[in-house]
Amino acid sequence: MNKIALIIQREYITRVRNKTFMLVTLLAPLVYGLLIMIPILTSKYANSKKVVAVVDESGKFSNLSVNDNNLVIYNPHQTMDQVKMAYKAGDSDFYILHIPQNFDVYHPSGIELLSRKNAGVFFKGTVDTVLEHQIRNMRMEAMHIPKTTIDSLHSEVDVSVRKITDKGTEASNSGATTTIAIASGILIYMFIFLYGSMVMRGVQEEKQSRVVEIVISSVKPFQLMMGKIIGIAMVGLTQVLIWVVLTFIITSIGGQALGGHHAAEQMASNQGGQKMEAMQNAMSALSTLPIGLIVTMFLFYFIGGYLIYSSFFAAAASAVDSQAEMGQFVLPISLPIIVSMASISTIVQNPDGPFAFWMSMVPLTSPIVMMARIPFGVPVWQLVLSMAILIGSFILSVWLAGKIYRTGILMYGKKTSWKELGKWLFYK
Amino acid sequence: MSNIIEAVNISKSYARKEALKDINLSVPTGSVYGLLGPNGAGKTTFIRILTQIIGPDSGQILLNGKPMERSDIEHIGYMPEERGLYKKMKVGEQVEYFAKLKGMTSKETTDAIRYWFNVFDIKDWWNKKTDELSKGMQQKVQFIVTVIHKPSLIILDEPFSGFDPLNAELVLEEILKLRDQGATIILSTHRMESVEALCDHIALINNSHKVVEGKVIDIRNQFKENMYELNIQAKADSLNLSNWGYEVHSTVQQNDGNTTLQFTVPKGAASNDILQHFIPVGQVNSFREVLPSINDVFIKLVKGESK
Repeated sequence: MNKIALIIQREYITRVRNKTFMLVTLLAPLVYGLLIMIPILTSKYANSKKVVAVVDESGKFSNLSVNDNNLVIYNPHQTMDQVKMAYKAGDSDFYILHIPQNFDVYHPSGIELLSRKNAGVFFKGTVDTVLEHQIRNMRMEAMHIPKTTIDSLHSEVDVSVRKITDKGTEASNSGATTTIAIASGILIYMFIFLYGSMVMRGVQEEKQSRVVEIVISSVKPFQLMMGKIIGIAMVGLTQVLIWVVLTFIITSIGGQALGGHHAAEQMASNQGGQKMEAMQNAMSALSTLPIGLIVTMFLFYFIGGYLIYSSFFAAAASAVDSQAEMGQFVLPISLPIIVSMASISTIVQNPDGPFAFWMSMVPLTSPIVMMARIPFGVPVWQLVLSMAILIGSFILSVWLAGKIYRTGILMYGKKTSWKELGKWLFYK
Repeated sequence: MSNIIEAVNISKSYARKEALKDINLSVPTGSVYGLLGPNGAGKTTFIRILTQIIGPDSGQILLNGKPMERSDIEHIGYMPEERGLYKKMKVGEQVEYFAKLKGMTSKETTDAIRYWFNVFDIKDWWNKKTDELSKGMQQKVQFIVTVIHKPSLIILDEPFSGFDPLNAELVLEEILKLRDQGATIILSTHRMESVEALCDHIALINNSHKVVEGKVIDIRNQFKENMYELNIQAKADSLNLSNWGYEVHSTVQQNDGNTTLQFTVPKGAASNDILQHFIPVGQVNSFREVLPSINDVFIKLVKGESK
């Protein structure tokens, strides 16, 4: 077998068989699945129906009434004592809204929300909104504006965003696109660091355990470095694939176990018809995104970015004797990737601007920035140029890293400076 | 005798330090060749050039008379001084991995592993993780990794460090067995007793350049100081060596009336003439010329260089 293939095989098998790897690979989707399901769970269990009885001593809120799936506000036309009696018998989601006798519509104060437990801040906000709405109507009625006019003043607008294509127009959703753009950037960032640091640790272990000299008496240092980088890339791809499949399985099983369809319906109807429509729009916009292109480019930029950064990490790790000395190299190497991550929110606001363009051309920032631009649509020439620069750059970076690595890996007991690294590039 | 390795004008520098300066060495095929020198002399750099881990700045290495190529690395087995193994890998898989890196097939690897595990009596180690082994046990595995692919040139850098005397003896026997089977051994060590016991040829490197090279016996003769050791049935004070121009180095008067002494004679004195001086004095029990040990030569040369 080819020597580099042997190294890749060893790197891959020893890592994939490792118990920690298996545990992380299997547990991460569970955690991720839980993160997705927590909002569903909370919407199902936390949004239990709250009942508010109005004790209106002012007589101004006799017609206050709300009745939807989450909230019932009614006026039983009883005294505070009578309602309190009922309260004792009722459940803990029972509230009393006390409006004092001297309540003034133009100076609204003294209203109390009484309950056995603390009313949540969101629930208080909902009650505030209902009352504000009611008080506004009262004031308008006092100005002799007819109720029909008041009702006709209210409108809800949701602009439907459509993208112009060669075939006409198609549904688009800037929210969904932005989410996908940011998520892609974050994932690339995470994976480059996750697997890049795996390469770094691997190189350091080989150097510290002194096994490296035995290995490089059989293979070239460059082969060893590339074998490690490619082997770990394959570990990464395997892990990501397992995560995607398991996350999909867990969320769909979890969704069904929770009565997903019912919960979704409930959520949708809770938020009202227009919001349901907005969600449907988002889903249809999602389906119009170039998912195939996004996935392909994700793999390309992940591999390209990973190759550049992991070769830098490998070179840096080869040059130092201990983890503690790594610090001086890790931060400068990581800086471009941190900068691209920090600028991602600016990029999604103006994905076609000059800043986004140049950041997506510079090979140290392009893996994250270009991934954040792609969902918005990038001209083909820009994509091809960025990819070509990235390919050229990772060939150069791997070559340079290889030169540093072959010297650094045999150097012990000496604190290495950047100047020293530069010199190693020219050793025979 | 042909040479398996010929190093021709090898020079190598690191930044400001000259590690090797115009080194010429010849390693005879089938010999055990000792590469000696104090720490930092340039031995490891020379070995790394031999194993193609690094390249020389100038000069070349000939293997069996031809310039060394990358593929020749498969005919070399190298055990570095600072050595380790993959800690989390199983012993069997580890040896298999290194054997395959040396170009062995699966079948060859399995047979060779079986043979060597038998020799070192470690048949039940296959599934042990390396970090479960003691340092000495790991040394055995490292030795197997070095020689498993039957290299024609074996380079051992301090091969006995970490071994208890019993296992050091076992490794020594195996090294000689490999030599008898036709392999050439280059041994880099500070342990002079193993140099005397094993090496046919040596080279001493100091301060980046070669100080001396040749057969062990020739070098000892080259550095002899006309010293003799005599055991005679006579009292020490009855021997007046200064009369003959001899310089006494040590005298041991034994209870049985015998005296052992070491002395140097003027250059050119013949051993028969020296002996003639002592015969009238008393019964000569033994008389021999004392050659310097390799250790003495090493110290003398290195000290001389540093002056």
